[in-house]
Amino acid sequence: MPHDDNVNNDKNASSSTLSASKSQGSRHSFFSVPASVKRIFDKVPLVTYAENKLPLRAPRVGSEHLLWIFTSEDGAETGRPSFNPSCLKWQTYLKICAVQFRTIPSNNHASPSGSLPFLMPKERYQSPSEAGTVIPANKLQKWVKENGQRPEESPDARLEAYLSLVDHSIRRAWLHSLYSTPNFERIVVPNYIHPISTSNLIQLATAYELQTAAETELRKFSAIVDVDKLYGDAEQAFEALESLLADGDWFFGTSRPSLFDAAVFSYTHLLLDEEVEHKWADRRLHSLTATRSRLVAHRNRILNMYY
Amino acid sequence: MAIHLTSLPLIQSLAVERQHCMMLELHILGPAFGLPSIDPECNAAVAFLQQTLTPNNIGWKLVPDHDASASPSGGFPLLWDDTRSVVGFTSIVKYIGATYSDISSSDEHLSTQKRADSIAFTAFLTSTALPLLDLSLYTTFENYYSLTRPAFSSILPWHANYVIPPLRRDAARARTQHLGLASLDIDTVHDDFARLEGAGGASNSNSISGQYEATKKVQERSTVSGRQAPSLLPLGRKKLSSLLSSPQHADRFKLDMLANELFEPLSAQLGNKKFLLDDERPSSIDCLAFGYLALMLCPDYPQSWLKDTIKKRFPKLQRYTDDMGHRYIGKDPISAECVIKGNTSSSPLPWQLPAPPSVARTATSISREILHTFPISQTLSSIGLHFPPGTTGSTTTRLLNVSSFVFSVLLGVAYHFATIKPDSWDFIFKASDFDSEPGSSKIDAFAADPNATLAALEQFNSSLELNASQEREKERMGGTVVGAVDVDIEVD
Repeated sequence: MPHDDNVNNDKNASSSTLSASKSQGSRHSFFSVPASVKRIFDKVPLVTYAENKLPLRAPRVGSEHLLWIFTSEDGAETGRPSFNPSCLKWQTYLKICAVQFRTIPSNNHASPSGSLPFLMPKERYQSPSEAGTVIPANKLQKWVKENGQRPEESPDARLEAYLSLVDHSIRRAWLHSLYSTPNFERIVVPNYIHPISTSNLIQLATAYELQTAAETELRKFSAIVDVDKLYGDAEQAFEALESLLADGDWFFGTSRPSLFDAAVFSYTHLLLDEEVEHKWADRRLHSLTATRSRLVAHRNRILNMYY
Repeated sequence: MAIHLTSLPLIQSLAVERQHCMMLELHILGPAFGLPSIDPECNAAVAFLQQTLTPNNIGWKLVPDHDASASPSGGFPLLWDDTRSVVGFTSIVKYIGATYSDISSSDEHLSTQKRADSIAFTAFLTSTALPLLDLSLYTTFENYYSLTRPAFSSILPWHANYVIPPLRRDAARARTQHLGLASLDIDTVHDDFARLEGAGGASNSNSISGQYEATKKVQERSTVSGRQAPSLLPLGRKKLSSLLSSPQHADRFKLDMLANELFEPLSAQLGNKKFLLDDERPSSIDCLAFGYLALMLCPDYPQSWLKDTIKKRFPKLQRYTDDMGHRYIGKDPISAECVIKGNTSSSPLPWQLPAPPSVARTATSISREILHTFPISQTLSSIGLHFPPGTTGSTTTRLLNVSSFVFSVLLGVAYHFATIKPDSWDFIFKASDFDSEPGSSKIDAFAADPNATLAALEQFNSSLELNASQEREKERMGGTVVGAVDVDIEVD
């Protein structure tokens, strides 16, 4: 019995310290959420849903792969180059790899991953088990390797560095040129905003969103956007690309164009496009490209071969 | 108000005074971690001037600074030459090359192709190395609070500590947000932090960094005892796959991938050469690479995943960084304390302390900082009215400066009354007790009033974002809160 008493005492003692420390704890955390409420909130989000599958009405008959990109209705029918650099890059890459596909005009809301382009392979929508699965842009290269012919890849160690010229220096100048200058009204609005809605309010809101997003992106690397430096960097980038190309037909001396050529083409073509030329209100970036004769020739070569 | 208005001509005269200095002055964000600066581009600029100017006997001065209001785009490194100012590493390189065309600039010997490579690697380093450094210095919670913030507080005046480090951290977060590495940043995953087990809060097993440190410790222990390392993943195959897809491990893979994206091309480019582009002479790109790599290697990171990756997998890059360091800043690490005190005779760098700021100037910069911490200035800037730090000239900014100054005086007066009758103001002013950051020990040396004003303001500001500040206080209070959480679990 005395033994039992001891145990009871211990229990009492431990429960009293427990309540003491509890009261101490609650006194200190004035703002803390009550335990019961916290348990509920800990369970939120209850379920994270997987990506939505494509709607059933999405076209799934035919014998071609479908590439969903930013383009106009006419452009899709004639297979013309997209007006979005990232879409154009993959569109060109698929053409380089001799993949037969059809383009579908679309916008980001249609994409399961939230951004264009994406590819719906034909065999996927033919087999019912895989219906609706799509290949997003970042897995396209792998998909082509598995399904298409082997594209040429340059083993050059400098590839990544030069790629950052396109993805960083040129892209930032492109963002500024398109979204923060009068070019916005003349090029972005008809291409991206008018197809979304005919309502003026929605168009205004989308325009504001797009411009803010572009500015946030530009502000990431400096609190105040230094426009001269932005275009200076782009000029240097074009200069470096021009000397990398040297007298070769393709970058890094490959015998056929590679993904890198497609990446460069996606910007040079959009900047040099004869049909858009009269629309440039702010011509800085356009003239930076137009003076690089080798890059112009490189762009014409790809355009003539594939479009 | 009268004080403030008379201060304006003073500022102008300071600007005029600055225009008359004849020597090249490189203003950088003070020394840290044994390096000349806490900012990669500043370190790169120091290395570049050492490389081009010093051998040619062109005098230049290195000024540890923090007030970026004179900088056209609000940043460092800032080079003053007579009346002109140049900001940023690439602009400085271009400017020096154009101004001193008679001396052989560092990129003169390069072929056209090598120059193109140099441009490409500059863009590559800015776009890949900066986010990695951001993750390591600012986003990783342990590193920020126990390394970066103390480093800042030893080089910044007390009032700037409330503004510059948080601003830089926010910028770093913005740059790394798209990488989706939230588990490094406890401020954003505070629920995990609250579930922390064990006292002290030093190792957070739920964060990726905490897990990494724990794994490392286990490995070290097993190698010390000479036994075979116990399996780190004592789980069946099924569990293993689910473990690998858990957010923490997915993040670990992501970090490795990010590090590889930078170091593999860089290491391949270095090859067996002495420098990135040339075997004989360094060029400007070497300075930039040094700027970034040195900040990854030199600090004593509590969470050292980045440093360890370089040391273990890219020892060549570590040797290269050490060589560059010896070449430009000498073998001895730079002591921030010595530089701030002006004790720099033994340093190979031409340090010069800036003139001590006048009272008026300090007052203006404080009021500007207060202005910037207010939500209203953020709202104004989001609707297109920007107040960059340099625009003291515009009427609106003057007006806002004056009003914020008046407000700070009012708060100072309020604090004065509060010290007489302490009880009623507990909520605002006692909160400053939590702020026992290393920087605030200095504060006591200053007049009590403005200090408390700022502390109170920060408290006020942060109480606006209740959740965040609550978590921050939890961290600061450490053990107590952990105890409370433990009790909750026991009661369950």
